[in-house]
Amino acid sequence: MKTLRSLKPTLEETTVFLVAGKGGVGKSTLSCALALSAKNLGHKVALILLNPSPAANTLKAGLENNPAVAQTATNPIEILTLKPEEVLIDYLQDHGLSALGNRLISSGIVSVIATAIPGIKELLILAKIKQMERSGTYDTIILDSPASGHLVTFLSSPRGLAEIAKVGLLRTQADEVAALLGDAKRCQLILVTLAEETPVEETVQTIAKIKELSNISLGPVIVNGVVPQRTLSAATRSQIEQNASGSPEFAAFSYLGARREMQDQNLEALTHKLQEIPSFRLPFIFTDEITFAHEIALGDLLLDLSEENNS
Amino acid sequence: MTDLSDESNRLIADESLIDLVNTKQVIIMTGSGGVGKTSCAAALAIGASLVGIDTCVVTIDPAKRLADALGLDEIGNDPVEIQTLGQGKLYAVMLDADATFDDLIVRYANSPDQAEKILANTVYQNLTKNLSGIQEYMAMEKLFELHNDNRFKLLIVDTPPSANALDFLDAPRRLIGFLDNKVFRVIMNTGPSFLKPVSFATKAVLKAISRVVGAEVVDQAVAFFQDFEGMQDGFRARAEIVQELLRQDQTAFVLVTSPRGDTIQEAQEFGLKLIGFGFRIAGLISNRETPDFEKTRISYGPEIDVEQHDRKILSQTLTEMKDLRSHEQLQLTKLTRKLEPPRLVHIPTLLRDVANMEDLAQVAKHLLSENKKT
Repeated sequence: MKTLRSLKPTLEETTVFLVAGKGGVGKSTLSCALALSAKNLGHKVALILLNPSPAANTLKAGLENNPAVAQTATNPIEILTLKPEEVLIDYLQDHGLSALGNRLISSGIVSVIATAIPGIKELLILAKIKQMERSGTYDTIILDSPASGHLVTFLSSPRGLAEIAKVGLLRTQADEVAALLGDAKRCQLILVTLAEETPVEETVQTIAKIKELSNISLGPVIVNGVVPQRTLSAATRSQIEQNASGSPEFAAFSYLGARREMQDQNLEALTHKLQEIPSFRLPFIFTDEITFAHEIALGDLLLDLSEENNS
Repeated sequence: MTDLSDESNRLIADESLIDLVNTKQVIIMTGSGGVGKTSCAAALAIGASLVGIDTCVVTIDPAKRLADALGLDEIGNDPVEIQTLGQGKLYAVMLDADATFDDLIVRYANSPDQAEKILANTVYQNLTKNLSGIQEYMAMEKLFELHNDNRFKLLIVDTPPSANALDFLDAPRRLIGFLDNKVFRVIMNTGPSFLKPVSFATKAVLKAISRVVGAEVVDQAVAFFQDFEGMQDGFRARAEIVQELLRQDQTAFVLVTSPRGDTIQEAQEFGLKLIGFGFRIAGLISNRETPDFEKTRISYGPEIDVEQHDRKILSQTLTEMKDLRSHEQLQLTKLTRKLEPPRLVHIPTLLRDVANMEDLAQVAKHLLSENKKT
């Protein structure tokens, strides 16, 4: 497996990116950073959310309020929130159920249909994305996907539906979405993780499940929050260990070093298990709050534009 | 410390959850995904058993390591006793939402035949996966069932990470709404007779739905609602009892967060909603804090001869960690000012994942330490 230095070729090759990962790994922030990277390449970008995210709010406010960015922005980022229930209602109304009043629809028939047919909401979200891709309006489409617990259900919806619907409109949709997911030139799944034990393990499990599922093209795995490797000269180390091992400076330094050491073990395990799947590392940001400036910096790192070296 | 945190510190009576485990019967751990809620629930249970309280912890979808740490091999609906060194007994359950729902069907069905029909229906089988909040509802069901179990005095319930933080409160209502679906009652002509004239129109609707989604699906849905007829009342009554249990004095909500901007924001929304529903937050756990490196008083002064380059690395690292910590504490202070939890526990980032009983006991020490406040 290799560690990528830049996602530029990936962004240039493929249109749709499904960004996924467990809660707390920075999936939404990465989606925003990736959108900024694509914008940087001059792409027309759509960022699709299923739930409002603080990261996307930061991005939106940043794009609107930052005159420097607004000026250079030849292609803005369109942020869209898709509500599964609404997509389903739209679909039903487009296909002969317009006679049903909105009241009747909202009174529960939609939830009955959504429950009776596993994966219909998920399929229709993916079908919507496929339609956007086919329209040719966007160079890059990024979906901030559901948390990985639901991810497998989400991605297996075309196959599940193809089993239920043998023929008809839904079947056509399912087949077309399956074709999109299986074509690495059109769509890639980007998994985000941390260099911690449990997230690494879960990422490997998710990949195994996804491979079992069907033909879904996996893009690079993004490892977020890798703490910097800092070293002291041997002379300094022995000086401090003898005279100031209890100092706050050394405590902080040792702590960071121990974290990096632990992360290295996890990174090694991940590298080993990913086999041919490439990965990309993003550095830990020493902040509790990701600002628009951080999103831009992360976007630059994804394209290897930053001067800061982060091995 | 800033004035802001001094002020909020006055509001916090306690930096331990010890009196909660001593006095409550049910502790519900809430919070958004990825904050270590399940580990905290397990650690709290272990801590409680170590101080002599017979405890049961209900976990939902624990990471494999945590399940291993607890000695749980598989999900099941019966509490498994876990060996600890404490005086109190410790039990754990990994919730199996599907099995819990099946149990409910069997319990409320009028006949074994009715139960069997429902369990075999594909609409029912999809219900657990597709109706949001079912898992949450089943966690509450489990809570109700276990709270009458006299093998333990304290029940600690982990809640599933959900997009909508309060799904576990809202789920029973939603399930009943679904089961009571008027549209389908009308379609099936099981409603009052004055509704019958609309059946012609609704048949047309049914036909239209069939055209889009397939006749088989519609047939199954109709069969499901027919089979379910009469069972709604049992579910409704049960949901009300669970709601009541959640509001009792012996029940406490503990909110888990990590001190990062986005999770703090989620915790705040979550907490305010809970308060809005009339619940009180008995405790707040701030998990995975950047440690305080300045507790130590040993100075690293200019008298030590260290190269300029290394000196810079050392001071930069300390500055970054200090800034990170002070930002975290500031966020936390803002949160406690909003939610006013009477208890706040700080847990520093551990250098490795919780891997065994000792690690969990370590976290438990933070949760249940005697009042550290001076």
